[in-house]
Amino acid sequence: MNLFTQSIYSGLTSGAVYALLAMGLVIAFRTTRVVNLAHGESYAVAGLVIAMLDRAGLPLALALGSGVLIAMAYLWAMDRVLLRPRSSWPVASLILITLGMAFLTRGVLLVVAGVDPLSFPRLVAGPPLRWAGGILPRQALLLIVTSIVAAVAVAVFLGRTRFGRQLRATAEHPDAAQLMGVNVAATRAAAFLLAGGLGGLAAALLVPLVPVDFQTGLGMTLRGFIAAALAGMVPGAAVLCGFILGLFEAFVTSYGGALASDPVVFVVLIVAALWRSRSIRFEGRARA
Amino acid sequence: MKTRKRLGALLAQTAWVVAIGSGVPAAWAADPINIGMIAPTTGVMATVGQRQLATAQWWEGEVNGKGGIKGRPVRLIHCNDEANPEKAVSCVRDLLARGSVLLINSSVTGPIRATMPLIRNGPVMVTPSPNVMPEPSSYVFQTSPSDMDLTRALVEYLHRSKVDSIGVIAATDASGELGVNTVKTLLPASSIKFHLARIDLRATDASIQLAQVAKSDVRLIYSTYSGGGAATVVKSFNNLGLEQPLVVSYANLSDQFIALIRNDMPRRLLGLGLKGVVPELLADPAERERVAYFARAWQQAKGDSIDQLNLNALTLVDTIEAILRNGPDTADAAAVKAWLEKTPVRSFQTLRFSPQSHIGMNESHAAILEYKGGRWVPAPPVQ
Amino acid sequence: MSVSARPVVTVVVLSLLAVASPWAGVPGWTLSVATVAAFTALALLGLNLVFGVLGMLAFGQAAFVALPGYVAGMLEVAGLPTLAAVLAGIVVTVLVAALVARIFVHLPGTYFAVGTLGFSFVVEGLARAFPEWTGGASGLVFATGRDIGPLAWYALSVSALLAGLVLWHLTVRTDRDRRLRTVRHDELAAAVIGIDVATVKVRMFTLSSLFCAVAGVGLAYYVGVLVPEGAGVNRSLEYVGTLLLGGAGSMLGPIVGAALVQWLFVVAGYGKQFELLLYGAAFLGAVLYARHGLVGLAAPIWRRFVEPSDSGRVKPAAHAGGVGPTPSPSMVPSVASSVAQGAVTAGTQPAMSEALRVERVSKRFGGVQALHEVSFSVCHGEVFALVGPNGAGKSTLFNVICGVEPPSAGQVLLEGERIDTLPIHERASRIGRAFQVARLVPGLSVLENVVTRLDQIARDLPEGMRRAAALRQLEQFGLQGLAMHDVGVLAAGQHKLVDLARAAVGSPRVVLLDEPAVGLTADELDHLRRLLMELRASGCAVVVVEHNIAFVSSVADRGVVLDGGALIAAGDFATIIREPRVLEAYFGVLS
Repeated sequence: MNLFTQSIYSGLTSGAVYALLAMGLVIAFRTTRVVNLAHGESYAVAGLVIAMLDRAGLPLALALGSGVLIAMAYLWAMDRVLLRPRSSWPVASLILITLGMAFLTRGVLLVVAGVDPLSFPRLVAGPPLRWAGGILPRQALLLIVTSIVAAVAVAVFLGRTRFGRQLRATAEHPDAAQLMGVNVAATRAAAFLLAGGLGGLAAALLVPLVPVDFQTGLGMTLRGFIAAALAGMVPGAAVLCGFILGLFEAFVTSYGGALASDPVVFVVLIVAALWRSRSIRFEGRARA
Repeated sequence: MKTRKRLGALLAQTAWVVAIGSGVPAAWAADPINIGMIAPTTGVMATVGQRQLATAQWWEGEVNGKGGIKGRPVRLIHCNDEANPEKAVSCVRDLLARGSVLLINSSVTGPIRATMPLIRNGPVMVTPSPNVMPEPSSYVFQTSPSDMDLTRALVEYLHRSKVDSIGVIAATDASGELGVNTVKTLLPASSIKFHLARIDLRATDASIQLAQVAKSDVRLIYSTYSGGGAATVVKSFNNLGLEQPLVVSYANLSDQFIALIRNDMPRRLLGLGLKGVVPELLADPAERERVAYFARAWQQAKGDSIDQLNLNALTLVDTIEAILRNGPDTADAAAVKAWLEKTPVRSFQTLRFSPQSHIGMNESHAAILEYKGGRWVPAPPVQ
Repeated sequence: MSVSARPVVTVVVLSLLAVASPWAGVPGWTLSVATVAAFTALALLGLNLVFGVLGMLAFGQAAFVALPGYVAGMLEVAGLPTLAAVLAGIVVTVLVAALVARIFVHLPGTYFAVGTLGFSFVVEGLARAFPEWTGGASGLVFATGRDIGPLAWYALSVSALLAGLVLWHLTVRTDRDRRLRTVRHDELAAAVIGIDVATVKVRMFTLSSLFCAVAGVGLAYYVGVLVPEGAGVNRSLEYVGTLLLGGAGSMLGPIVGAALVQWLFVVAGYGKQFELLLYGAAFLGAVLYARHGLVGLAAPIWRRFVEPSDSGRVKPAAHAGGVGPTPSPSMVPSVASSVAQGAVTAGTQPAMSEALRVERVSKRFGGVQALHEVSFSVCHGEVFALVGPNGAGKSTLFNVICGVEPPSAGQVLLEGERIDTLPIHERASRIGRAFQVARLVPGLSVLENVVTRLDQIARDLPEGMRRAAALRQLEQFGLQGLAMHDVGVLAAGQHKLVDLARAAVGSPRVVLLDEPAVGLTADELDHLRRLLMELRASGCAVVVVEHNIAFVSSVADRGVVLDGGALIAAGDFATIIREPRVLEAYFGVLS
């Protein structure tokens, strides 16, 4: 096997997932100004629900659909019940709420799904593809393509539709948006449904390759956030940064070893955060 | 300190009342013999801890059902260390505070090592981890072959199969560190080339590591990774459609692990195992009978067949039982240590400790096994 | 929060109770659990300084708990005596924390959270990556330290905790507490009243790491093993959760949280799969419904039964009966007479000399030209109006003058001295600023809000004189009746007047007022007008941004009109607002 090629394939596979998660994280962030630390839990919830439904004998398609829907409902409900009624609270408190929600979700998943990693069958069977000395499972190719398609679709949705413009207006000035007739509540709901859907989609496609357990969520949140932060919280760039992060991580692991990957990736994160925020002070209030 | 003792007594009484309600015949007037057991029943090593705990609990019921030991019931106190060294240390403190006279440590390398300084003056602690090589001066006794012995069995198999190049995947945890040291010492000396890659315990994809080691000349891949997380390696192995046989570590020869990787079976799944897992490999009929008896009793009690982790735990409780029945008073830890160093322990295979070595088994107790048709069989050579 | 101001006596009594607790017969609460809990409480006390007091999302504090142990352990292996190794571990940790603080402190909340979290990951990863030094994943095992006996260990942990409590008390004592709370509530407002926000945060973060380092080195030697996860992000978040549970911001919160969680770990050892669930539920419950944790929940009961005469705290609205919430017009004349005297006036400057000069100031944000070569000057003893449509650049100009934003080009001079390169807090003694929406700190009284500015710009005065000066300022503004009220209970108009009083306290040369008239009642408008006249009479240069043209016409001497970032008119205010260009740009938009 060719390590270089394989690193590219592995990097694209995990990058596709980071891209989907980063996109959802950014969309929710832009409507609420809150970094949702429970975002990755939508991935874990969807993955575990699908796996359990599949084990219970439900047809795979039905299980996949239910899992994604539950992930959407999960994030929507979190916003509706926990965040929206407290939108006047300081951002730091809201972030803590999402962190508490992440802990609680992990606790529930542990009781419901147990400690062991779970998985379910792939959508596309068949021997893996072999190109240029690397091996790519067909499912991984589907995941990468889906991620790119979803990214384009969301970009078009945000850029060209009335909802997209409302979403951006809400992000810039929630009060002004409300005055201008934007239904802020509906926009928030749609943003979280979309975010949950993207997280669920990532799980539906990746879990057949990489099992999920109750504590997968935090890692997913962090990776999604790194991509989002690198992208300066812009949805389109988040997708690109998701793929870059995936590739970077894969190459560090390949050529620096698994032990190097965490320190290197997080040093990069810190540098990126410093670089990105060099002009932002006082949580952006100074610009107002 | 008097108050502390009274508190301890109170606690013991409370626990005793609880224990009466849960299996220990109420008729006994005698004080129970407290055996402390550390086993990770949650977390990444739960596949290792749960079954060993269940086995020890089975033994507790069995012994007490037959009248206990010297008229006293045995009471097993479990502490879950989550395979975390810090928690393992507080487990040992707690278990000692609750009057444990002997300790069983079914955790993994890091936590076991962390607990060892706590028992510098006893009591005796038994552990099945092949990665723990206790100093003969210590009170720790290890009941499996050492990692070195197990790897020797692998080397013997490789020679038999005329394989001279393998890939090795090791986790970044303590077991992985030790596995790396072992292969670095042993394989070059046996003129076997190897490619090595490490994988993080929290990693969910091992395809890069496999790409690093699955070179064209590699005819077998060995994963030293222990615990449920090792399923990641098997899954990625399957994702990449690799054809080589895959050897999993000693701690992964469990039914629970097989259940985890059920849908991702490699073409050939091998494992470093105890001969007791395949009783026909045992030379002594008495040893075969002991395994058969245990398997029947386990089947009766749990409706389940035994696996290597059951046997690991059996060596632990057999050692404990031997000490309690035939050894000196456990209050004298040094005497117990000296007794164990000169008395062979009859388990399904005989454990022999000595003043020079606290490792009870050796290379001759190990074999390379293959999972075929729902059970482990002796592995035929690599084609 | 209220618990932090409790008399030391209470703390001593509670501490003695805590010391005796292992012998109280609580099942599972053994000496060893109590020792670990005491060390953990000390680490949480450190976390509390940044997380609880300053509201910084420090999500990587476990790194500072693990680091000293690693350093000490490695140095000991290298041959250093234990005590020297321990000291070195603590010193190295504090130095690293100071460095980390300097790097991260400028990050806004979310990025700070992720930055510290990332630091936690890095330390954990490094501990795992160099097993030959750190013991790797197996952990670093400490051979020494266990032999002093459990009682000595317990005594050591409790003494360390008590020392920590004393240090905590000194750190957040009254005047510092005011400053810390202001930083926590509103960094911009804090900087504008002269608090060097970055330095405060760096110092607190560094101090916090000292607590963590002492606790961490104790834990490492007591437990006897240190693993990479001990520095990791999960542990860091556990610390945050435990603190929230006990009560963030209070002195007792860390102790209650640590004791409860350690104890639960022992007694709930058998229901492991529910532990995470319970923990998550408790965490979320604390964030949602008990922002001051268990201590916050218990405080009212405590006050009711144990401390019936709780003194020293501001009781919101307790004095509301004395003076009406709106200052009556009859009080205002007294302001005029008192303004010319006392420490708080600026009578030294000759009238009509130049106070502030803005010279060809430009400001770009990316592609947007917010200000384009704006020049004007304001004299002592005049009210200067800055008007223009929304988005004309008025707020940006204020930000440039007081130092929130550096100008892209041009200069700002104060009494001839260039100030546009000074940080905000160094301009504060000479520039006061009131905001469009008053940025006062709830939880502090009106008086304390005003004193906080004097804490910064009149540091040499003793506390009593600062309070007296602030009270005098409130009297001058006719607000003395509100002095002891929590600002949280004030009406919107009162908020703005207090904000104005704070901006003008300590005789700044220039006062910047952003839409002072918005939201004021007719009475309050009259009051405001008189106050501005008083300020002008005292020799202060008053710059007003205001949309209420009728009001601003009645107070302003001169002014400028901004449109699209550029000056379109300047001069006598009554004249310029009649210029056709101004009418078109300004009133055209308004109508």
